[in-house]
Amino acid sequence: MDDAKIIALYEARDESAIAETQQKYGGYCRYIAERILACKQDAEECVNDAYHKVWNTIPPQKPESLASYVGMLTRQLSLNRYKENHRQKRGAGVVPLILDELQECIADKGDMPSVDDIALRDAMNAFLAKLPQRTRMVFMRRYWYADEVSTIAADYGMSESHVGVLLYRTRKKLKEHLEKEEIYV
Amino acid sequence: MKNERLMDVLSTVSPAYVAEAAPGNIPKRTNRGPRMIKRLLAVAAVLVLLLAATIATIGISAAEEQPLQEIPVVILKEDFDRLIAQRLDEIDAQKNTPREVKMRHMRLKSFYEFWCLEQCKSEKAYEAVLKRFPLAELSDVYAVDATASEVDKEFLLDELRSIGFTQNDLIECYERMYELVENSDVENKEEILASLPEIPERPGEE
Repeated sequence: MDDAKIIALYEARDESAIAETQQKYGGYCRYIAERILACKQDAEECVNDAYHKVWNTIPPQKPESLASYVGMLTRQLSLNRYKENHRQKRGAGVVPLILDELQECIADKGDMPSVDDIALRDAMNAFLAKLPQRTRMVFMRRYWYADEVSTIAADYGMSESHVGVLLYRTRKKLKEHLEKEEIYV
Repeated sequence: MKNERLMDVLSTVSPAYVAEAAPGNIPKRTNRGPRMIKRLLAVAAVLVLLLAATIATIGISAAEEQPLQEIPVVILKEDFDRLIAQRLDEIDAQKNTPREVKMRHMRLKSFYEFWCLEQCKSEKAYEAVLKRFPLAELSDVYAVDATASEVDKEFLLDELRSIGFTQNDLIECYERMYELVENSDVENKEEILASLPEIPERPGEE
């Protein structure tokens, strides 16, 4: 079933919308959640929570891409669960590494005030738009989908060291971009 | 924490970028894919080989289709010498002018400052190149002198192009440098990797 029809089911408050979403995007959402949480049970719960959230937010939301919308919700809920687990010393998986890497992108704030999330998102979008397509895809696979460097290298036919250096340079460019735009986290 | 906030905000970037990078959405150059595509690629590869062979018979190297776009700013000595010797042999076989060929090789080498642990011209100069390219800790390298003029660099680029040094040669040389560092046991691996030039996109990749 195409996305428009599934969204129409949500708008009609037809509960089969959830089953259709699960059938079409279940694997995709589980992939995202499992990469972040490294625990099948937690991932399954987050994916179910994401379906629930989709049900509660459409309408009024009418996403252009249902995949990206349900993926985004799954990612956010998984990150929240990760933080909760981490506070309870149950953190695992690739996320601690990714957080360490992202730390390199944050400019020294000094006395500057932090920007709001919307300004930060816009700056991120502008940065991504400037990147060559392959670099952008590698960046997103690492920091959005939380993929291992080895997985990205295998998928894109690159060596692991090449992916590592590409990510290192992209993080440096992101830091420079945020500094230039005076975006302080 | 700030990095957690950055990670959270990443969730809200344009859905187009999320969809573009979705797992399974692999860029063109890849060794994965459905069996049918692999077969088509195999057939295409045979056709390309046939075409390359045809082009070679009329004296045009297929490599000329992807000429060098930039000079190698740092390159392993063994790679450079091997590639240049190979290319010059090809020219020699065609034109039978060995003396000119040797002169061209010497001229090309002279455009690179030659650095290695034993033969460096001076300690100060060695420190300078080591600062720019810590790779020299691991292997003998040719590096473009930091003070080289644009005219010299342009001349070097033309010379390398004229003997058939291609963009793919450059990329392979750079990739070999990355592998060399990656497979080494040096402590400052990250520093060395960061000093290496960015590997350009392969022609037709974007």
